[in-house]
Order: sequence, then structure tokens, then C-alpha cells
Amino acid sequence: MEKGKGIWHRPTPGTDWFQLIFSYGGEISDSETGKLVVDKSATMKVLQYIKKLVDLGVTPGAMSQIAWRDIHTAWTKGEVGIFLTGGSWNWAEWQRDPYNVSEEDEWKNIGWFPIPAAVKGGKPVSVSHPIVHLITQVSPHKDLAFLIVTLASDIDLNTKHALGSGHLAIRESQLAFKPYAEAKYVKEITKVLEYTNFSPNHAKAPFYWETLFEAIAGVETGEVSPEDALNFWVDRMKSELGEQVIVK
Amino acid sequence: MGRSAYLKIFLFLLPAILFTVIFFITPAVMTTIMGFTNMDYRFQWNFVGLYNYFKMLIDPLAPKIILTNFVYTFGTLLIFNVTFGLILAILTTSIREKNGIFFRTIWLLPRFTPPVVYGVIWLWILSPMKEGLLNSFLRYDYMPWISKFPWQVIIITNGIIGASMGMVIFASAIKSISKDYLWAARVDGATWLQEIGYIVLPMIRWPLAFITAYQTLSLLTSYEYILLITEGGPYFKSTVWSLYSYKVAFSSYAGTYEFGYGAALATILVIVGIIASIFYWRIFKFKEMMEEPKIEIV
Repeated sequence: MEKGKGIWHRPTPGTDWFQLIFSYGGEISDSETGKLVVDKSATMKVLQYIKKLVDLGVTPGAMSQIAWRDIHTAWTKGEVGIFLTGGSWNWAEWQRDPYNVSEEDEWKNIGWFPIPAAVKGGKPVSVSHPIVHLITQVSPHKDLAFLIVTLASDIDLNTKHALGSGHLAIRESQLAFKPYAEAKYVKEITKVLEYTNFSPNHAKAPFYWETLFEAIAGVETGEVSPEDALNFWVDRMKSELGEQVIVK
Repeated sequence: MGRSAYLKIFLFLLPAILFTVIFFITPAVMTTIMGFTNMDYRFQWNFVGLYNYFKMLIDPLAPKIILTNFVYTFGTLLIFNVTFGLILAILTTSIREKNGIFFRTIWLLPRFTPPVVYGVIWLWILSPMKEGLLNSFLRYDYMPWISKFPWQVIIITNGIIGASMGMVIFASAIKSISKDYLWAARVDGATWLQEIGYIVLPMIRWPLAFITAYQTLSLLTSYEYILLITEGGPYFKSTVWSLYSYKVAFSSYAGTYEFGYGAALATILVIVGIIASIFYWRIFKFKEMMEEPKIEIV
């Protein structure tokens, strides 16, 4: 591998970054109150890890400035060792224009694993972001809305979507649905679900992951130290979320 | 003046008045009012008094952004929009008219290019990898231009577009200078530089003052190329006030839109813009420019 091409990641904010906090034993939401959690110790370790990747020449400091397309191109050409924040859907994406990797080549050259535990005794992790469908009380057509939600959650249609786009099943019953159960890729990738954690469905969660990524990219470019980035991030979270965030 | 004369004046001014009221005064008033609310994705007008302004005072990003805004606005203005625009105007009017038009057209091309295309071209030029145009030209395997030189990047990328406006205005002003003055100077033995220094510059002082004032206000609120090329990074280093206002109000994808705080931030820009206009009006004595000439040469 060339210098700086050992481990790459997405160049943008996203729920994927929560995985690193989980892998360091941290949490991002409080299961009792539903409030968001800023886990200072785990986040500090994530930022130090990012700095270490750059210092060791494994990840380029300007990772956040590389365009998505260039990342996928370098990856599909085999120039990059590990794509840290890949999603199951990338499998289908890489088969299409402009990357055009055949599924056969993917099986030959690409493997996957959940994010390994970064602390002793921890568990490997991945992250999912289940969507909640809401029907408003003031809707004049609640039955119709319910029908649409039912169709959107139908295993037949979702299997079609999963097989075409590399996404996972959304219901337990879908796992046993024959076309899904017989499809090699989704069958294999579904095993990662065993290690998954959920991204919180909190109205301010996007603020969380956007500002968390600002800290990550800031440390990565060398513009700020992990300590300063963490303190600044904690201040922003506190001033933005007030009582909606628990700082540990 | 009789009533019909006033009516005529009013009718002539009506289109401009309508545009100003609809596209400047109404949004400015609405933004100001919204700045006193905590409106978010729920679109509720909950008035919170000066809360957003207190928040701004303790916003840890504010000092950093103000500094960047100052460097960006005056850096781009002085280096490109005025000085480089003036140099282009002088050079392209000093050569044959046909060639001058050709070069001015080339310099106008970035302005005609859709902003997203222009942004993507710069991203390719400045890509940190060896495939980036600048890196492949310099044979660098890796050079993070945007991280290393964020201020220079936003000044150059905006300036290349900004210079063309000054160029067009200055070039037409230079062309309107009576040739008699230049010929007379040449007869007296003036060099090209002396012609520029003693005749051209003094005679285009109004366009120079206008472009300085106009482009300051324009740069104060522009952020689209910064958003497209650096996204305000690395770590807020190239975030200007208007970009911050936009990001707070609109960019949180999945939607925690903070319209209230974003509007308060934008209101500050409106106030700074008005203060800057009054400052320029006084310092450049624009009132004199608007006065009728004391003598009329026919």
C-alpha cells in the first residue's frame, strides 16, 4: 500500500461515526430518558485514534477533502487497504457506473467485518439507522397513510430493494423469505446485524453527528488537537442542546 | 413642480421601488423579526427576545469567523476585485480593441460558468491526491492545498470571478476618457505609466470608488463558492459569517434547521452592510458624484 492509503473513511458526517464511539465502549444516547449522551472519554479516544492514523501515515490528513467518487475509484482499483466506514449498499454501488466491478471480482477481492472492539472485553460493532414512520393526528386520510406505511414495510418490496441495492432486511420475517434467504450477499452481510447498534432517533442527532465530524476532520487535518477539539465540541453540544444532552 | 410632475417621477421610480420593497426591505424586515424567535424545523414563531444575540456573544466560533470574514472580504476586494480588475482593464485597453475584447471575454468565462461546475473544477484542481490537476502538474503524490492554504484558496477562487466585474466597469470608464488628454500627455513626453498615474486613474476615480463599495457589500454576503470548495473548513478556518448563517439555518441534513439563530446572524450582516454603505457614502463623497455638474460643456 502507498503511504496514506492504509485506512480510508467517508469524507462527510454521518451516523457511521457513532461506531467508533461504540467500539471504545462509549454511548451516544440514554436509554431511559432518550437524551443524547456526550461520552467524553470514548470520544477522546476516537479523536486520538484518528490522529494516530494520520501520524502513522495510514490515513491522509486531507481525507475529508477527497471527493466520494475518488474514494470509491481508488478503493475499487484496489489502491486502498481498508474502507473504514463502508455500508452494505456499497456492494451494489461498486457494481454500477462508474466503478463497474463485477460481483465475481467483489467476492474474490473484497471482504468485510464489523468495527473491532477497541477496548479489552468489548464487542465488535456496526450501526444501523432504522426509520420510524409517523402518521400525523391531523391527517384526513389516516387509513390511506397506514396502507402506504404497510406497503413500505412489505417484505416482498423490501426484498426487491435489498437485493438491488445491497440493503438489509427490515423485518425478522424477511430473513426467512425465500428470495432473501437464497441471495448469497444479503444472507452473508446480514450476519453483521448481530453486532449492530442503533443510531438514536432524536431531533438533534444530526447536530450531534455533524459537529462530531467537524471535530474528527479538524483533528485529522492537524488544525486542532484532540483535547481542544473535544472541549470545543462539548461546549457546542451543551450550548445547542441544553438539557437534552448528558455529558459524561 | 406640479402634482402631475411628482406623479411622473413616482411612476418612473415605481418599478425600482417595488423591487427594493419586495426583494430587500421585506426579506430584511422578516429576517430581523425571525431573529427574535427560536424558530426551527417546526416553523413556529416563538419569540425569545434577545436570546439569539446573547447566544451570538458567547458563541465560541464568532471571533474566528469574524477574523476570516475580514481577511476574505478585504483580501479578495483589494487583491482581485479592485487591483487585479484594474490591471486587466488597463492592459486590455492598452492593446488593439479586438484583442482587448478577446481577453476580457476570457476573463468573463468563470462568471458565466455555473457555480457548481466552477466549484467542481476547483475541487479537481486542488484535490489532495496525485490525480489532482495541481498535484499532477507539480508531480506531488500528496498535497492538501485546501487544508494548508484555506484563506488563499477562498480569496483566489472568489477573486478570479470577482475581478471581471471591476475589469468591465473600469475598461468602459477608461475607454470613455477623451483621447485628447492622452494625446496631449504624449506630446508632452509622458510615459505609459505616467499616463495611467496622472490621467487614467484620476479620471476613473468614481468607478473605482463605486466598485470598492459595491464589491465590499457583495463579498460580505457571498459564500456559495466557499461552501462548494472548502465547505468552510478545515475546522472553520474558511467559514465566513454568511456561510455560518446559512449552515445554522439550512444545512443540517435530516433537519434541525435553526431559522431563528440563522436569521439573527443574517441580521448582523444587514446591519454591517448598512454601516459600511454609510461609511463609503461619506468617505468617497458619493453625494458629489450624484450632484449636477456646475458647468455643462456642450
